[in-house]
Amino acid sequence: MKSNVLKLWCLALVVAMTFLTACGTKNDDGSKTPHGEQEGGNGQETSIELNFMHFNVKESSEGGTLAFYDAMEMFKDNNPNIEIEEEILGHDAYETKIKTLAAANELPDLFVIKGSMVSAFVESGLINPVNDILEQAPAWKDGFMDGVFNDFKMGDNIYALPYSNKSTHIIYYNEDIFEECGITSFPASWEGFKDAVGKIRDKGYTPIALGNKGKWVVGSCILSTLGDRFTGTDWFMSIKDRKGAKFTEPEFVDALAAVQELAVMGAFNADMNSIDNMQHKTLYYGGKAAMFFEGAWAISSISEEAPQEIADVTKLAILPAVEGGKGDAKAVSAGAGWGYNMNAELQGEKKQAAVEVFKALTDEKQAKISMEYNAMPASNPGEYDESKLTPLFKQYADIMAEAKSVPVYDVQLEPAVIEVMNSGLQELLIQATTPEELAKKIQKEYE
Amino acid sequence: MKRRRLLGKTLEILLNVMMLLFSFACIFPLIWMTYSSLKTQKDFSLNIISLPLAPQFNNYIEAIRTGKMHIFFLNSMFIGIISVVFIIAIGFITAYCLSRFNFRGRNLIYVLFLFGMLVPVHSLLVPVFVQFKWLGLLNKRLTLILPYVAFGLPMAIFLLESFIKTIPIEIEEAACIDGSPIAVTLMKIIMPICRPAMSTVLILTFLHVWNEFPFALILIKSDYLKTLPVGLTNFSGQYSVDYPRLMAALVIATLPVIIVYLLFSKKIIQGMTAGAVKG
Amino acid sequence: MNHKLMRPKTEVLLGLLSPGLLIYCFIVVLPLFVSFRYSLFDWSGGINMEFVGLGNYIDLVQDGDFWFSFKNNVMIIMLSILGQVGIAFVVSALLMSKLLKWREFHRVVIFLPVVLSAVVIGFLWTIIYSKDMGLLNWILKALHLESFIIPWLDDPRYVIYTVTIPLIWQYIGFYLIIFMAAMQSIPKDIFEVADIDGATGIKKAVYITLPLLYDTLKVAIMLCIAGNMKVFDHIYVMTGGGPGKSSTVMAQYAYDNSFVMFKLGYGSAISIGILVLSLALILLSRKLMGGNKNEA
Repeated sequence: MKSNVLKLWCLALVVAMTFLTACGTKNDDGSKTPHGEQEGGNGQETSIELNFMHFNVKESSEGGTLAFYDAMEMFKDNNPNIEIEEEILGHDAYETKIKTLAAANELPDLFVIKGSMVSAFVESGLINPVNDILEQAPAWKDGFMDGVFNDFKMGDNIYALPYSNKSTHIIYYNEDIFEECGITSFPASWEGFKDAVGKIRDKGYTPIALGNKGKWVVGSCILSTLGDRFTGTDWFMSIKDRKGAKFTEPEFVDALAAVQELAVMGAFNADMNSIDNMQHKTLYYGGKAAMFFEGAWAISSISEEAPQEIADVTKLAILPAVEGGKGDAKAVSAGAGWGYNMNAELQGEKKQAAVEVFKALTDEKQAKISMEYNAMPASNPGEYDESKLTPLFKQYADIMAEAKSVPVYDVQLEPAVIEVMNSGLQELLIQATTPEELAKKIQKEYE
Repeated sequence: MKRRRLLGKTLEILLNVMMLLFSFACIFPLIWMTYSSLKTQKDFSLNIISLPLAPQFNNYIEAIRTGKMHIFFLNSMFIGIISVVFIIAIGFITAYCLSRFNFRGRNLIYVLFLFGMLVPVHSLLVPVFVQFKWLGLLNKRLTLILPYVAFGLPMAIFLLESFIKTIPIEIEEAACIDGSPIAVTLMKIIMPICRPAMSTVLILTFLHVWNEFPFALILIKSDYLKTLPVGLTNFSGQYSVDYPRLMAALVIATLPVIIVYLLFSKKIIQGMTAGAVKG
Repeated sequence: MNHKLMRPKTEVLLGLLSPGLLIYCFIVVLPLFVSFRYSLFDWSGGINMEFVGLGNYIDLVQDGDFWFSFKNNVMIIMLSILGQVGIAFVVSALLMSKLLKWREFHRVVIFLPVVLSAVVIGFLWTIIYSKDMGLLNWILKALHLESFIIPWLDDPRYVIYTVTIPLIWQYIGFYLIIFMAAMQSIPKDIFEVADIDGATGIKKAVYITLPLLYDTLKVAIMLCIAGNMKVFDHIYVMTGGGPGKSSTVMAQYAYDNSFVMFKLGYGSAISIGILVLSLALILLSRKLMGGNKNEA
């Protein structure tokens, strides 16, 4: 009788296995295999299949996403022989998945990478430079704006094709509150800025709403620009190319000290490390805060979410010049951040098809669409319909026309250094560490 | 004597009030989630706690239309039911063997299953992915069942094992002497007694499978096979999250677990009223 | 409990155990070995791996951040054993007694937080702790206890406690249903006898329920330790592990290393470290509670 149990299990296992394999094969027949080598020649026109992983979720109303889908649709209409199988994930989930796939050496055909991932991907031989692709199409290459490749450069090699060019540092301020506190125009010097912060604080407003729970806001939206005011861009380039500059140099320490000084004088809300960048906008929308620092992407948030009376008095600015600093007063941290690249194993017609996809997503036509969706493209848009720009976006475009783009720290540095810097900045804000200590810690991780 | 009773009464009332407060704190999040799902993005970002001004049922329509929640929902249901059936069947038999028989390697097996509860799932992502890739198991309808069963087993085994141990062994011995085969004893005698524990395991494992995220993210590629937790990430753009719509999707995603709980938590209590426990 | 009488043949036993073991070894044990292999390399994904032997482990032992996050986990575990398991035990005893009204309602409702997504929990508790519109500060103000108001989630000294409270609150229901199920195996007449003898609810709980539930209690504590060694999401949505690293737990530290900083080799070493430490904690708890003759 007992051996019956054994038989029962065996039977159950066999059934389960058949079920598993049966379903598996059925599925294989149903959907197309990603690598379509076995197929083709079935009387149908040979088609090229590419899988493309990205984070432009269909539910989003961000301008860049809308522009992406317009371009993709157009491309699919014009190239019926190229089948693109998309895998779309939310932004954070995408980052986890692309890194897992990279670790397992199983990247999809086409994907998006962040500047800070480049070095690891290159070392693992997962991606090739795109220089040759660009050289073959000079008109396309020349369409890209100055400096947009910087986030993806290692030496002379470029490792991704940018599709957007965003400033990560814009000060959104409430003109009414400024006037109420006796500040008639946005301060033109760092001392003046601190003075203004003091006046606003004394009136009972939160001078700067800050939601740094995600840890990147201070590094990306404040320090990248403020740091440049103190150190100048050459210092950062020397850091990036490992030409001898150090985080412990006095200029950078001064920049850290300046951030801490703001925190000490009560420029930020007390819960800055436990609310996120959505909640800091809530403070601003409620008229309780006079400013907030964020990237260009927040422009559309203002027009979609802010109450009309707040949106009407919102103006844009950048940090004023710092006396004695080595940096340019018109410098704004900006960059592409993310860019497209393909699996290094892609060959022949698949590679060619991939290039066509990327062209469609980054060319002048696409730039024009992006611009009209109020998202700054990485290429020159040529002529576009200015009436489609919101007033705030126009203001932004004007600022950027005069500004000089400088690197965003947490895009261009290595991930480990970024992590140490961003965690350290949180501690700096609550005076749990000193600028000198933090600089030493970053330097140690950097070495 | 009278004073004592008064004191007891006061205590009783106090206790009841405290429990009511606690229960309210437990149910409020659900209420908040539900009414937040009816707000507009603007309402939500202006005041996170206020009631919706004009209920937006549109959020639900959008969650299904663009968010494809219904597809993810069915996938989760399918995977969830199969996994839970396997977990309970395998878990029950393994737990029975571990609690009733002492054999060489028993402790080793016990510790091995302990590992499954302790190891951080993220550290297994890459190895499991490589393994599945190698065996061609990625992105299939049944792919996720394997990890879900494996990770559901430890808790099922530990809970059932501790429960079976409390059952007097004499029942089985009597059955054995009567010549009843072990399979019959298991099904006819032990299983019914274990019903409360099994319902508990069912609720907890279903919950775990329903909410599992990392494996679902890594092992599944096609939109038609994805489960709810991965589908929910579709509401986060690069710089902004569409919270009200996410809440609508969350309401849809949370309902089944609550229903499963309501259905099976009755079973936990039924054991008591039926008095089936007494040997 | 070794019963020669019923002891099946070895092959039958093997037959019964093998399906579970096979799946389990394939999904958990084998990858665990692979992960251990990774931990011996300096590796950031892809093909380039540099063998460093036990180098990662030597770093790990000296890694202050790792031990700090371990300390956070231990803190959470201790509070949770008291909070989650303790309160759940008391509540389940209350639900069995006649003292409480609307027992059915309580039983249903207390489990509800368990099913909620971490996003919702994170949101609500940040609202509760919030400085200006927070419920907690509002209550404190109403009671004229302004001096107790602190930046709840922003002070590195207290943040680990403030993030543990939601965790405790959420999982009481989880242990509650485990205890409720186990209490069904206590024959009802025991309670009845106790009633006749005039045993009050508390005495009942201590002298009758507790000893009979001892095995379940041990499993619950084990689940509590195991679960809280792996907590991550809930704390992440509330503080992101900050300020600085003050509320970072081990699982997040491993995740950050592997997937944010791209140190996959070291990340694997941290995970193995977590496994070893968890195992040690569980064995310790077993020792303290008097190990069962039947168990490891």
